[in-house]
Amino acid sequence: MDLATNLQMMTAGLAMGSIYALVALGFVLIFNAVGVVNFAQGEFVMVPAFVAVWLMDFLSIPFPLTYLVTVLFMGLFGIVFQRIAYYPLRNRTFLPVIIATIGVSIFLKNAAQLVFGAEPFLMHRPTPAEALNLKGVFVDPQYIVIIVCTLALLGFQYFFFEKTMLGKKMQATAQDKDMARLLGIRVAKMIAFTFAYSSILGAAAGILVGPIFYVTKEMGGMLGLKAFCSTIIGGFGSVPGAILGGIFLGVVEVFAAYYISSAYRDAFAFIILILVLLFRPQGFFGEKIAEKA
Amino acid sequence: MRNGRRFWSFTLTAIFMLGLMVTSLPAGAQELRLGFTPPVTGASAAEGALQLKAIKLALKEINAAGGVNGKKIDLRVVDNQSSNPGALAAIQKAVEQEKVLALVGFVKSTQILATSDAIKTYSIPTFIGGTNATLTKQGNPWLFRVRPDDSIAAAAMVKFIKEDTKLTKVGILHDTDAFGTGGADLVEQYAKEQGLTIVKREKFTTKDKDYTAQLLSLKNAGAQIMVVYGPNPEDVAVIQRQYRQLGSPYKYMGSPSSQMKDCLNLSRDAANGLWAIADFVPGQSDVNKKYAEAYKKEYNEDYDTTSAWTYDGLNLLTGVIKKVGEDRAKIREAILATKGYKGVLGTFSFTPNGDGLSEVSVVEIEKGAPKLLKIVNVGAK
Repeated sequence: MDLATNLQMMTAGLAMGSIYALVALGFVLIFNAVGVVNFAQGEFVMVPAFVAVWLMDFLSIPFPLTYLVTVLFMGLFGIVFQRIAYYPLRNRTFLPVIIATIGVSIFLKNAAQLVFGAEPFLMHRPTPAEALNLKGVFVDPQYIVIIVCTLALLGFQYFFFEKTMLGKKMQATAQDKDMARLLGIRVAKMIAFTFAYSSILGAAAGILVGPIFYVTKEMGGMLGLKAFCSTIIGGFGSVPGAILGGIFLGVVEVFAAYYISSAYRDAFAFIILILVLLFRPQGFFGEKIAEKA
Repeated sequence: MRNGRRFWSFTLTAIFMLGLMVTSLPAGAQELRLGFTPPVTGASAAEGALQLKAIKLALKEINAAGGVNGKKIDLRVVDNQSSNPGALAAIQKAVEQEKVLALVGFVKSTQILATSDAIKTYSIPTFIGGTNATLTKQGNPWLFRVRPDDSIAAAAMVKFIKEDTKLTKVGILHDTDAFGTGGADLVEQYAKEQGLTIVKREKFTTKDKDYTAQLLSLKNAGAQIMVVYGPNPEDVAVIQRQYRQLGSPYKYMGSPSSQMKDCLNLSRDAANGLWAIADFVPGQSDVNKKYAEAYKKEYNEDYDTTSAWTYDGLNLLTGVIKKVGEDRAKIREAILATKGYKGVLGTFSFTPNGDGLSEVSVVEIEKGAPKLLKIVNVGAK
């Protein structure tokens, strides 16, 4: 098989994988903070996409401002989400919270349909629609933007959690709430911040994929599932696991579709998931680092 | 008290029974009763509303022109509730209570399958808009299709590729659902009959977002033209864009979803110059233009292309009743004998199976809208 084809597929895979990684990170951060899987994580991608479309198409706001407003909005959205779906239930078991996140997910999808209708929207591209031709390898510039932005975000995240006081407090909260509280950290606030950050990751994913996915109320569904797979493949609760799991899944999907069968493209994610659960239930990066947020 | 209750229950029952008898009295001598069974409620209610608009336009025109043989048409609308049991109940109600002579029926293939036996038992001529190719091939002599079936799109694609493009190496990309797989099977079968080579068949699942692997695989297999077969305009729009981004390595021919408004709104410039199959193109004939004008005048909006078949159905039906009178067997013979009737959807010539249309249009997308290239008639099959 020729090199150009493989390179082309590699870029597509890395781009899809980056998106999975962003959504997967959102899962893991919330899980580490409150011990609950947030089933509305896919909608954390759908909502900002609609917000961005609305700002750009209906209010004609330019790109940089739209992105900024969307990200800020999603930060707020995360805090409100936390207030509604987690905070009132925080002293109960994990189950009511999970059901609450499912409820919010259903609500958001239907609200989106009510407000925007069932027809998909096209988000404007910040990049040209023509593919870059790199010596016979055709690459969508948006794919490159996705990969670069994801890397930048990960860099920022590392800096934030390791080098800033706020990040360290959030980490401490994720590792041991009681201890953190004893040390004077305001745990409830840190948890709210975690939701906000996770929601901002969703905003990044939504803005990045909007121009290639089209914006519909269902756009978060499969994305959320694949991201969930990624977190398990990488080792549930592990931050590097979620990132590498997502990228791994994105790349494997494209190559498996090409070399094995395009009909079962979506199935590969779940086949890998089952294999991982059977032979390495803790995932690639399970155990020790699991409590790190 | 007890007696009072009994009295009321008796009276109510009696009133109800009387009501039933009144509604089932035979139609008045001056009216011709026909039935129509659209989805008025349920999931497809929006489609049903559009079908009603189309058929009511036909009804208004026919009655304004004096009706059929001196009788006004009394169109009885029975809701099929967007479900298969609802469809069966609607047929029963239309025949047994409303006493209609003939029916304009369903557009959903599953509803047609669910009611086929009942229609056969009642021996009632029924016009249908379902496009599943097998519907008219199951030995039910009372079904008459007034839309081109799915196999015609596939046959027309192959005919156009062979005769007009002269390309011989065909790649197929299709949805794994019943529509996509069925269509791709037909394309493959017809292509082989016509001496074309299918170099590769690639698949995708509904709502996939990245088609790089499939599109490259067809390119590397040496395809000169790609046939895209899938039901969802959103999916096809993504394919069109990524096909352009990979440098359009081969020609593109799509099933009807490729030229639908929902698709073109999303793919925009990427769709320009692509080929696709359409049931028909608005404005392709005089009848079609007249319908568009009348519809606009009546409802102040553009007509919906997928429900225009009800307009053609009612017109065909009243046309043959004018000729042969109110006898179901004679109506059936007259429908099957119809040749060259010009309707909104095209020129109808019925096959012995009851298929009214054997032509579809090949279009090229130009400035975001389908433009007629040619009407392809694939003949009776």
